[in-house]
Amino acid sequence: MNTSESVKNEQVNRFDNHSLSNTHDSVKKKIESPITLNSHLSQSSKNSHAIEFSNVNIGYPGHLVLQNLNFIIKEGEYVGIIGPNGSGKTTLLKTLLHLIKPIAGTIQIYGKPIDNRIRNSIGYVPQSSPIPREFPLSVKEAVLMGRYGQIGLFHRPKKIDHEMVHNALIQVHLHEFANRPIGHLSGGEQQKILIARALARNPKILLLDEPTSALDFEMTRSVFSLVDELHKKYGLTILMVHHNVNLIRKHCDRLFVLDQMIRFDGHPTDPRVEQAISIAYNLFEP
Amino acid sequence: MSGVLEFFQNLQYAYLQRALFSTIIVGIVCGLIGVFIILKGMSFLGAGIAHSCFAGGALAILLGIDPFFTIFLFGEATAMLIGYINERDSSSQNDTAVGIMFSLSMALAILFVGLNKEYNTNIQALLFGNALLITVENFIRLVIISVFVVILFFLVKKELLFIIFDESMAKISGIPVKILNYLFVGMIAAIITISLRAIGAILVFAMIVTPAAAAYQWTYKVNFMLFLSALFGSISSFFGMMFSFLFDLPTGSTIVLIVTSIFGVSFIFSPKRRIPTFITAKDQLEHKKECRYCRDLNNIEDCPYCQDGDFDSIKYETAKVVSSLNPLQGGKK
Repeated sequence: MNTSESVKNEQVNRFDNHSLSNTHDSVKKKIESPITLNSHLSQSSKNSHAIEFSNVNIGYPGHLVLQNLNFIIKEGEYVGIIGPNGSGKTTLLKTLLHLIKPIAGTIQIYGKPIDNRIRNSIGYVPQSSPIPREFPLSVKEAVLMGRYGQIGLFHRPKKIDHEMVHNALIQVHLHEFANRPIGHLSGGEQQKILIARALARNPKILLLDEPTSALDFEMTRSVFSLVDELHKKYGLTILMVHHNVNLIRKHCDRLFVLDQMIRFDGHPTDPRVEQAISIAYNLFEP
Repeated sequence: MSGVLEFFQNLQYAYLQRALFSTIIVGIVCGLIGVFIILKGMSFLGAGIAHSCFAGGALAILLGIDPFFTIFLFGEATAMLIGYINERDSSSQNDTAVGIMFSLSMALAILFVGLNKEYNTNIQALLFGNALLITVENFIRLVIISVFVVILFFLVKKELLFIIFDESMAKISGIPVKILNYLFVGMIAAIITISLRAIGAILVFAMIVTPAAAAYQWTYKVNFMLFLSALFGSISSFFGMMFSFLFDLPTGSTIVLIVTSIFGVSFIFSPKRRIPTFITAKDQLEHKKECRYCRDLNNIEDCPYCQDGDFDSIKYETAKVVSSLNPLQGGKK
C-alpha cells in the first residue's frame, strides 16, 4: 500500500470510529479498526492544542485588520466568534485556511505551522447562499467535491472517497437525498450538505462562517443542533462565526468578541461578555 | 429521398467527407465546452473570442500569411486578457472584460479590412465559414486540437465543475483555481480557432451556447448534460451539412438553424418546467419530514416552496386551506 492510500485508509478509520454508531452495517463491516490519525498529524496530535496563535497581526497592504492575537484553542473546543462588521471575523478564518498570511507572529495547527497539507485537516462551511434550482449537480457530487483536494488533479475519485461521502451524508442525516439534485433541497438542507462537504474532508477542525445567515429560525435551529451533535459525538474542534449573539452563546463553550483585536475570550456566560460586546458594537451612550 | 441518397453517394468525395467530419467534430467539442461556459454564466465569452479570432484572420489576409497562426494568437491572447482582467478586478462582472475585448477586436478587424484595399472573399469565409473549403491540412489541425482539448477537458472536468459551483471553496481545497481558469479560457480559444473555417466567427458562438442550453433543459446530471450537448451539436452538424447540400444553403447558418430548433423544442418540452416526476412516494415521505411546508400539505405539488423555489406565504396559506378541506387527497405517486 502506498503512502497516500495508507493515509486515506487511516482517515477513514478515524472518521469511522466516530461515526460507526450511525453507519450502515455494510460500511461498518468494511471499516473496523482502531483510531489512527492522519500521518502528518499523528505525532503532533498528542498535543491537545488544536490551534495556537502567538503575537499574530493580520492585515492587507496599508490596513491592519487584527492585531496582537494570542490564544490557544484546545482539541474539541467549540468556539463562537462574534463581532461587528469589519471586525476581522472572516479574516481570522481565512488566515486559518491559509488564504491570508499573517503580517507578524506564528500560527500553529496541532503544533505545526499552517501549510497546504495541514489545511486538509480543516473543514470549512461558508455562508449559505441559494443554489440555482436547475443546477445539474446531485447532492452526492456536491459532497464529493469536499474530497477533491485529497484526490488530486487528474485523478478520479476512488471507492474510499465514495465511502467517505456516504459517511458524511449519514452524519448530517441526509443520505437518503444522495441522488437528488442539490438545487431541489431547502435552504437548511443545502447548508447541511455544505457541512457534509466539509466533513468529507475528514477534518479535525471545523470552521463555520455565518452558516445560517440566510436561513429562517427553524432551519437555523436545525443547523445548530447538527453542529452540536457533531461536536459532542466526534469531538471536532469548532470555530463558528455568527451574528446572533444570544444564539451562539447558548451553543459554544468559549466565546471570542472581536473588534480589530480580541475584546473578550472566555466562557459565554461570563458577565464581562456584555461589557465587551458593548465596546465592540459601540453600544455605550454618548 | 433521392436527394438524401445523392448526399450519401457524394460522401465518397474527400472534400465532402472532410466538411462533414469537421462540422461534426466542431459540434461535439463546442457542445462539451459549451456546457461549462453556460454553467459558469459566461455565454458572451464565446462571442468575444470568436470576434477577436476574426480580427486575427483579417490581419493574416492583409499580410498575406496563413491565417491559422494569427487567428490562434489573437484568440488565445484575448482569452488570457479576459482571464487576467476578471482575476484582477473581481468587482467587475465576467462580461465586462468580454465586452471590452469584443469591441476592441471588432475595431481591429474593421481596421485590417479597411487597410486591405482589395475585396477578398476570405473575409466572408472567416465571418460565415465554409466547411466545403476545409483543406487536408486544416482538417488534420482540427482533429489534433480537438482530441487534445477533449482529453484535457475530461482530465480537469471535476475541478472545473467545482470552480463553477463554488470557486472560493475550490481555492480552499487546494485546487489551482487561477491556472484552471486560464486553461479553460485557453481551451475555448483553441476550439473557436479551429471552428472558424467550418462555421465562421459569427456562428461559432451559437454552436458553443445553443446545444448546451438545449441540453440544460433536459437533465439535472452534468455528465448526461455533456452527452446531450455533444449529441445535439453533432446531430445539428450532420443534418445542417445534409440540408445545405440538398438545398444549396450556406452550411454554417443551416447548422445554427437546426441547433436553435432543437433548443426551441427542448425549451417547450423541458421536464424542468413541469411538475417533477422523479420524486417517488418514498422520497416524498422522507421529504415531508424535512420540508415544514410540505408537512402541512397533502401533496408536494401544492407546496409553493418545493414548486417555485421561492416561498410565497399567500400560496402556502391557500394550499393549506385547500389541503384541510380535502384530507383524503393523496400525494403524487
